[in-house]
Amino acid sequence: KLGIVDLHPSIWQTSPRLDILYENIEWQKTYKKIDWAYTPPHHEYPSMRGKPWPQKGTGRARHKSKFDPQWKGGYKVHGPKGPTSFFYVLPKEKRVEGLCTALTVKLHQNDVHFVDSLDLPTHQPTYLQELAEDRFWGPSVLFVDDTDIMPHNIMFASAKTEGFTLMPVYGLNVYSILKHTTLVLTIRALNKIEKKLLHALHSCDNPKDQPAPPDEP
Amino acid sequence: MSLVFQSLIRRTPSTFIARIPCRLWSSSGKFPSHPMGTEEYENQPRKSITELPDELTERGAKPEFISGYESTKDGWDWVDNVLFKSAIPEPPNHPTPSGWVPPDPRLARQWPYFVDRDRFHSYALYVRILPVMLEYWLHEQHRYYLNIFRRRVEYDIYAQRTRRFSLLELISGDIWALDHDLKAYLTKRVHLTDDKSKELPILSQVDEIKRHILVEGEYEEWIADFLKEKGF
Repeated sequence: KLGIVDLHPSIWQTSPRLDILYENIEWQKTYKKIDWAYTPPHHEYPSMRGKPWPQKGTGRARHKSKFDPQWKGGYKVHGPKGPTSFFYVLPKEKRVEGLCTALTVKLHQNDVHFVDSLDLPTHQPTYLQELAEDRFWGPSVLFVDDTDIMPHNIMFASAKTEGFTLMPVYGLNVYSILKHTTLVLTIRALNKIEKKLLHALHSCDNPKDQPAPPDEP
Repeated sequence: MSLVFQSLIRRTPSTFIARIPCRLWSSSGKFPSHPMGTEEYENQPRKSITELPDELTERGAKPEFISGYESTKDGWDWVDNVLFKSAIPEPPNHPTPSGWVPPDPRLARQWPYFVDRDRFHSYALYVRILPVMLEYWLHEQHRYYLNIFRRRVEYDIYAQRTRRFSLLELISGDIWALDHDLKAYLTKRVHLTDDKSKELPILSQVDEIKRHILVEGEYEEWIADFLKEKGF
């Protein structure tokens, strides 16, 4: 143990909003979804000129074409049409509040650990696994560093280990935080996260009530 | 050579042209396919439309000034005052003439609940006209409904308007105690006004997951006074 870390209460001690957590997770699952179901309409079916059999004479029901909706293999009138996307962007305030809630929950369940840096002495995965076992870090660990370029040793060690994920600060999301059992942050990552979240909590990006900017000369 | 590339070479020092990065390469791989792929094009300082060379502007699009002008950087403070800034400034520590009151943490600490302020340092107090599911049983025919913005909304025939609610958000701590205190305060205030039509009880809904209290009726000002008394 190297020392004590000061954490900001607006991020790490909020009243946890479980409904906003749920909305964040649903958003992360749904916004990438594309439904590829497609039923061709009647004009995309083969030509339907011919009656399958004459109107009268045969004992069968009367039909005009082989591809009507009541037939097997016929077209559907109001079926799913083409790729439908479920893309939407959750409001920024909800995403920020979701992150704060997830971090609060993780901290108060003793699943957050702070580390000075992600440097390891060896690249052997067994070293990292034994370290995690000794410290009672769960089966899955999320290592968060401030940049996306990680030291070599931890890269090789976590690539071979199932459940150990490396992530830069810009990739932090509610789903990953809750999916991995433990969250390991470097001090630099913590500073960056706090700075960004505090700025987002205390700023407003919608200039609705502001005067319009002056036109170009 | 294209005109854009010519003007680019005219304006950049010769050392830059030697180092060309590997973006937007042409198929032969010998030169970038567009000057926009080069670093110096993207990093050059933005110039106003009045300073573009003739080749890059359409004929007649370049503005012509009748009188001379000079560009200065004095008086930037006046411009800065008008620009939109995303960071919200800190408010003063004293009540302002508009009626805004800062929170009193000494006074607020004694209660078992806490009502936070929003990012703009105001109470999280809102009016709501909420939609209602249609339940058209025979014994409920005294309930009237109105369609506003394609949502079915309850209509109060005695007040002759839509049924409105006041919403108080950002609550932490013991919500039920706050609910109890709030209802007591509002009923006392209603008795003070001595209005016969408002003798009905104050109804409220508490949501523990969303941390809010919904009070039936438009009691925003009275709830704001309640919050001021408590020091939130």
